[in-house]
Amino acid sequence: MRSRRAAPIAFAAAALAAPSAAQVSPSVEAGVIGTQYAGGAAVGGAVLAPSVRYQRNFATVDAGGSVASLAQGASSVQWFVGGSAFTPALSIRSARVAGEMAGGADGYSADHFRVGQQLGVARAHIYQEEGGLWLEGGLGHARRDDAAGEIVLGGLGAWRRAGSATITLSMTHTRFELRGGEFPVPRDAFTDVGGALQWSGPRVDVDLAGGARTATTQSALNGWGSLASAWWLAPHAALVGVLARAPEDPTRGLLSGTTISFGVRLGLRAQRRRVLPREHSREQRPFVLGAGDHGDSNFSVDAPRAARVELMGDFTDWKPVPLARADGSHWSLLMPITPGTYHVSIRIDGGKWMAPPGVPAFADGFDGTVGVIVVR
Amino acid sequence: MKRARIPALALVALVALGVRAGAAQQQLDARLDPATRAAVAALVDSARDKGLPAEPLTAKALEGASKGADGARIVVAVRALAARLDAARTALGPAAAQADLVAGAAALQAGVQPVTLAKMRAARPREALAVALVVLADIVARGVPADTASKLILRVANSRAGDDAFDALRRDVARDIVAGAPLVVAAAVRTQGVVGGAAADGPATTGLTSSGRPRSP
Repeated sequence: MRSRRAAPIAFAAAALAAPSAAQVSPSVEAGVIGTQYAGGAAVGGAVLAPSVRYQRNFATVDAGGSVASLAQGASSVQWFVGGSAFTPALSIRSARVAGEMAGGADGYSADHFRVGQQLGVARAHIYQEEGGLWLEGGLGHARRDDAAGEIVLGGLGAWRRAGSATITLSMTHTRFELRGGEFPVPRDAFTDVGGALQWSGPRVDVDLAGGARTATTQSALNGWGSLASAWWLAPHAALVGVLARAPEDPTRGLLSGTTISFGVRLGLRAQRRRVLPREHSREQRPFVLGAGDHGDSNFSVDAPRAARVELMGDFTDWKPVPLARADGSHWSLLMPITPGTYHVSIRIDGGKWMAPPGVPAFADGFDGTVGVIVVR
Repeated sequence: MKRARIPALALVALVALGVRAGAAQQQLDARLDPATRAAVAALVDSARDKGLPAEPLTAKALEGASKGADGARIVVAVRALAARLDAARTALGPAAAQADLVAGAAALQAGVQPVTLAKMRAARPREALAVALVVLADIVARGVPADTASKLILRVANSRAGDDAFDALRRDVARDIVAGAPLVVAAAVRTQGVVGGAAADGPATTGLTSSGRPRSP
């Protein structure tokens, strides 16, 4: 006789649960680029930009760079490495709170100068189903040739998801200083206010961003913006294009500039970077079937705004059974279920019966859907 | 001593099944109108005569009643399920467990061909197939063509991977599809991961260079 497994299979929202293993995702882009810095002449050339992402549950690391060969023998090299790690989320009433530690470094060198920056940022996120807020503070170090100095920043932001789009608004205040070198910069500050829209269609990814940077003692108010898109021609190949105006960067002494580029990206299209990792999103674990303390099955439903959650299935003779609120957002039900394959539906606040989210769902024959779970 | 206990346990099981069947019948009596009750009872009896399990059929009738369906819809749904259970039993063999039959019926409902179920059974003649079949049904229901999904699941079945691998496959395919990967590619890549131990994901950035947006870590 086959023994019962300690835990029923969790056809949970496994669809959106944390990846069980690390993923390394390389890609490379190649194309043409044109750029013009304030007060300078436009130059064009070819660019090669490899990048790689390492992703594991709550942590992501990105690294990459670009090498541009420009007209008249000029060239430039950019590189970056950055990552972030999130704490598990805590539920507080109908909201969740999570912490994030992020850090990164980048550098840019051209024929006559070299700049770079290292920055560490701590963020606190509070969020609900489709949107949230964050507060952040950070410390860093910037350099331009022989000059160097500290950066201190603080900011806040908000995001909201609507269908396939995510809208982000943010404000960041930065204090900086560059000491030494030929062109030192005394202590100064500026504020960035901006917004971004990220949207993905069946074959297209679009990033639209824009904002303004306040004036400093050595620079005027200047706006910035960018439109970046990828059109996926095949699973591993996309046409990419960027039109961007970068703001003046007083922390590193970079002038504002406009860039346009077109090229081809090779690499599998996959999950795009989000404000919060999927593990923290509302769909994260909307329905979980796990094991209780005494061999019972434990149903857990994430429904933070619900006043009542009910479940029924083959194992209840299709009689509604209410779940108990376990904490601010989770509802749970313990009941004994023998191993087998079962159909199950839930409803929230007396609404329509439906398949629990994340569970394999099929038409129920009654103009609705029903989920299928396997208890083993 | 052991010999004496086995018939006793079997008797207890039979009594439990009888009690369960009686309870289900009482539920049908209480929640279906007489005409629907009679039609469902005929379908259940017919299925039982064929050696099919009665519980999924009475459960489907109770589901319809609880969801407010009229009698005609309930009878249609029960009849359709009985047909799928019969087809699943034919494909999976007369000794197929009820859990496998219900999962097989779900796969057939999703559009999987009976021959795929038979191949699954041939690949795993003595093992439970419920998880594999539900995963197959789910991937097809998500839009991966049935013939493509069937080939991929059969490949995993032939690799001798366990139920956890099927569940992980389903999870990864679903995540890729949510992330925008083409359906067939998501399924194929993730199957490759299960069978070959490889995983694939995608690029992190859009655009050849950093955009005009100030970079944050």
